[in-house]
Amino acid sequence: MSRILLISLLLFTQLFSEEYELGQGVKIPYLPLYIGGYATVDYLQREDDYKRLRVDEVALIGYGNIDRFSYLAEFEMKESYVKEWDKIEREEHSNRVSIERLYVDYAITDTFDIRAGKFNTPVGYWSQEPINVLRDSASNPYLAFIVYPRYTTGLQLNYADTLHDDTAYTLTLQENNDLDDWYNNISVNRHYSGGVEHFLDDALSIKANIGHFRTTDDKEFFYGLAAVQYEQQRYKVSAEFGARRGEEQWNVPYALYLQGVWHVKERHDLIGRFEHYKIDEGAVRDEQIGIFGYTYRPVYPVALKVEYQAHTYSNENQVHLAFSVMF
Amino acid sequence: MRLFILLSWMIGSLLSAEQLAIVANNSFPLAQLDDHQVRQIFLKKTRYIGKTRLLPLNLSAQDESRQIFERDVLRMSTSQLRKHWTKIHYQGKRPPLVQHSTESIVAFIRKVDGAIGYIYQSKVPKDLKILYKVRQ
Repeated sequence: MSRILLISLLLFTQLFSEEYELGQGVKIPYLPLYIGGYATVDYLQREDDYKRLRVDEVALIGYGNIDRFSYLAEFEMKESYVKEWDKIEREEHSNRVSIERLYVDYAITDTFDIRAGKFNTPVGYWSQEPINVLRDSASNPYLAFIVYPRYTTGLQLNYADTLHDDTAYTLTLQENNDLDDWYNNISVNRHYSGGVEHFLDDALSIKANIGHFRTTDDKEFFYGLAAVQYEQQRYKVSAEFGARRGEEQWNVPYALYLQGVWHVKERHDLIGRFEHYKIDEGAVRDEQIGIFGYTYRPVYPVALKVEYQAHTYSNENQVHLAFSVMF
Repeated sequence: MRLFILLSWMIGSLLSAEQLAIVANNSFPLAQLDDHQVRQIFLKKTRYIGKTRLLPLNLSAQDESRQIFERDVLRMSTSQLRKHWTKIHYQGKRPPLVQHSTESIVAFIRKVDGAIGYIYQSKVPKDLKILYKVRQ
């Protein structure tokens, strides 16, 4: 399977070169199917001299629609190659292909649709564009990993009257195991969440979510998250604040980030992010992180990123480099 | 000579002031759209009106009317749109279909219910309805 994935990636642009535009995928003739994908290679070096080079993500996406149905399948090789330099040198290869997303949508009416399968949990803004090439920074904020399960396997109901109303509503329901348990930040067999997003104008929107999930080792949690995003031609500011509570205590009393992106000029972005989070699960970790980054995009679907992270635990200060592409 | 220059200037001004119209065939479920609704449709944020599946049409990237449409209606730069369509691709959606001439846009709209496009107001045939007039 992994060999097929890699060969497909290599031949992809050659086979369909005439109609191909980078970052747009290609149509497979005579089928309701478009194929695309993305890949990321990154390198980090910490102050404690730990270094890591990896092929972080190599993924194929297929999608299409038939009448009021549409579908999407995304298969990914996560960390197919990792080389680490620490006290000892380590090199690993993995051919494992995971199901990142696999779902069918049905448009019940012009305002109401339903999704069934495995999908990005629609909580906050970061979770909706989690791959390296789409996000502004090289790294993800901690909030995206510690508050809620990033993927849900079940149903998602959406209501949005996009022509007449500025508010959209989402409900997700999971009462089963994950379609691919390995590929999720938190392993769950139950997950319910609800969310509302309001667009104040074309540039500014706010979002709120609450949810409940049960892990596969039978621990139950509740979480809440509030987010705001403001985007103009030259600037983008986003912030999210979340918290997660277990049966007895707040396991994540707070997790937040505030990120600003300045499109200095065409193809050149500067990024600054502040993060603060606390995790209390046996050991307590309370950390602040400051991030400063630069991203160069010769065209939008290709990104070269460099980022410096300053951590409360200063031996984790690091430089992070990433090259990513969407095809 | 002065008269010729004056006339040329007047004709030039009239031509450059020609405005775009958003058009569809008569089966289109709404009589009019506002600029927000046009943006929602052409950015693929609205896919249906009632039972009608919408099919927004674009002209090719070099076409002057597309550049005017993107600047005055979508109010987005080429790079912003490239970013938008790359993100849309990740979500399993496609940008509007591209037609290579105003004539193909008109022919497509005549044949396909839900198709919607932009053409200069002077070129709108009588059997299509104008949903929105673009103010430059």
